[in-house]
Amino acid sequence: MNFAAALFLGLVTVLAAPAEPDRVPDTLPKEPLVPAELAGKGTVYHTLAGREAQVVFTSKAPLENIVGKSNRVVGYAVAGQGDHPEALAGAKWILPVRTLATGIPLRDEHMFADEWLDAEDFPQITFSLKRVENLRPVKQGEGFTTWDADLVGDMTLHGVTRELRVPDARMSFLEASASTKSIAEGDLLFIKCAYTVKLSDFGVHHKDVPGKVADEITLSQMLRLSNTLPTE
Amino acid sequence: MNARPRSHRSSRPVLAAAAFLLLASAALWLATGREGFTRWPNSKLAASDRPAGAADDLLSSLGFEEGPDDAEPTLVNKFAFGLLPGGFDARHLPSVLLGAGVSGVLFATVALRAMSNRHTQGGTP
Repeated sequence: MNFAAALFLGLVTVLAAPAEPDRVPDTLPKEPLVPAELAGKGTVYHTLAGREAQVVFTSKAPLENIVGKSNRVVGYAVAGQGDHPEALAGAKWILPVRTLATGIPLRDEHMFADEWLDAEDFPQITFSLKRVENLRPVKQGEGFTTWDADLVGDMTLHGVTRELRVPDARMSFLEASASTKSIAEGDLLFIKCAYTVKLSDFGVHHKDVPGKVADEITLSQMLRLSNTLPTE
Repeated sequence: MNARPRSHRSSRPVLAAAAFLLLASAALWLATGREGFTRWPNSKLAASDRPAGAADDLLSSLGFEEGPDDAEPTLVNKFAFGLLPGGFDARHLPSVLLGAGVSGVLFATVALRAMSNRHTQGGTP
């Protein structure tokens, strides 16, 4: 058989083959349990996951810019007591490493490999809120209040835990209404923030840093939470 | 009498196929954005992009205004024929590297066949 014809047929077969199943699983990770002593301090808000992107990370390096996202962050936030829900009593969020996606499967697999985030040994990135500082009001209206604050907590990434300050996070508490029903049932809490982390601070060292991957990664987050446990 | 050896005639389609493959790979790479890795649109990534509409209006009314520096980085979600495979599955293997590799094999096949023919003809008394 003519070699060129065989090659052409082979290429057609490869391109016509069924697509790889989507790597990011459909099922959501389990929300961490709220400690009993914390749950008693205020209203518990549950993170709504599996929809819009919740975290977007950016690496800007001389040779390449990389953008990735995840919509699988789970966790909770416990509002402050009484008339001060903005003074969060606590919060914890978990980001499963393997839910991060950059749009290129090979690059995602590199990211999960042991020389990078090592998803096998450290499958989750977590943030546990310790305190809220520098609270200042931004806006208040019918059924809502919006605040800016610095969120201070412990971030665990690649098996290393370090205190992290997330400056100028914006939080908004919104009572349930006709307009909130399009998002979720119950009272809502929105948290938006942007911050940076250094891979080297968390024990991630690689020869491609900083040429192809920046040491300082920028993360932007938009979390939507509800005081009504999601049913999905 | 046909002076041109059969091997020369039969190698032309192979050379043409090799050249076409190489040029087509390069052209597709240039036309789809000169990306490093082959990528395909991902419906799940597209679905997780923040939708405009009622939710944005609500957030805006709460004080989550988007400033000029607040635009969320966008994830490229399109087809691109890359220099390298974007994965090891069938859809992501096609790339300039694969095209150049196959072209190289074809050229090498023709070259080896030509060398073999020359050796055979040279050994003929």
